[in-house]
Amino acid sequence: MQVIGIILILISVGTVVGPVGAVAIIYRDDLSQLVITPQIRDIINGNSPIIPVNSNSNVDSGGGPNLGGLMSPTFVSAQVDEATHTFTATFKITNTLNYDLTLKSFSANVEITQNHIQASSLSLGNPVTVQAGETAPLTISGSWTQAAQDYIINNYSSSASVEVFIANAEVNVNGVVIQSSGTIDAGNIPFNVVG
Amino acid sequence: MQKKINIIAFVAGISTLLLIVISIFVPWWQLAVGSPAIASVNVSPVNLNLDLLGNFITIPIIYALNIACALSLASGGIIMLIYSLRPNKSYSNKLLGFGYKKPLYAVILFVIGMFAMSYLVQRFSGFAFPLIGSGSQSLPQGMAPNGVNIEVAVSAGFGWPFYFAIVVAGLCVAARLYHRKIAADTMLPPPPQKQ
Repeated sequence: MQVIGIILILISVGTVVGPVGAVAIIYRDDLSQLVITPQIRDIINGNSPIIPVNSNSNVDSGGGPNLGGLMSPTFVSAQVDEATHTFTATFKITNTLNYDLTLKSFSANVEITQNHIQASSLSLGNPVTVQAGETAPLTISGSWTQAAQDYIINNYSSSASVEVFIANAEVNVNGVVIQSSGTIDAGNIPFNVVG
Repeated sequence: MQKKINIIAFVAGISTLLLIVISIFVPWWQLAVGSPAIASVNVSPVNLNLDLLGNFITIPIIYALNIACALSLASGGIIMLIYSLRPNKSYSNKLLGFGYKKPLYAVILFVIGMFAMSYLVQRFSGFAFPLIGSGSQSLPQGMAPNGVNIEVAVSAGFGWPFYFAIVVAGLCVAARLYHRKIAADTMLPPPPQKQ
């Protein structure tokens, strides 16, 4: 009976000490890696290839955050209805992750950089699912303000483009809502694109 | 009356071994971040699975503790089975005392661990998540680029193996109580013989 008691104690101790001791020996050179592996440390520091968003690389010419990194849109074409002051723009969006992403919603305001004139509001036409590492078309609809139209006619008559930025952008990707309180430089929009 | 086997302990032993196999594949508790999920945490005492954008993250010390728990439960289940077949031996009490506690400890430590994890994650990262239910949680500012607010849809809940584990723990306790009856029956004096 005494022997059985000792065997049971040995089993109790061995089942815990064995696995824990084994990993402690494996990571004996740096015991902190028992809890925080290099992979986890990279995620915490924002340097992980799993999430290609680096907080240090998001300052653009407008001084605000850039929502790029997870997705990179490329302009394809646009249709404009001058009578209703509305337009539809088509982009190609590339999913840089090794994971399928669904862009559920997008909304933003567009302002003319000079004098911060409210130019337009944008929204996503339909939710878009982009397979891992692939590209899919994306339709953004919007309308422009009469004030912006008047401002451009009066101030950009001799220009071929207007510099704009995006403000108050809100993106919903896979239920993750990213809201930017800053501005995103959208560069120069050529007038021939929007008619 | 002599009992040849403790049937409740036998069922408890089989259930304990079954619980280990189930718990490897089906989590006791699951947290999904995003919709569709971009990250998930699947937890059971024998397997903790962190999935971020399709990448599995392993924490060595947790992995070791999972193996320890699996070995501990397995030893408990096997000892319980051995006891159930020989409940009247002099060493039966020791076997039962060793075996019946394992699933009970697993359930209790799991619940304590879940509350501790919830508290510690909130304490050190500022990210609060529900143990049961769904909602929307903001990421701490340190985890988002400057000027950007990130809100994620999270949902969490206990899976059926958790409730099965409670049943197994209950069976083990019932086996312990039933052992008293077996022991009492064993010690009954023989019935008086008719003259």
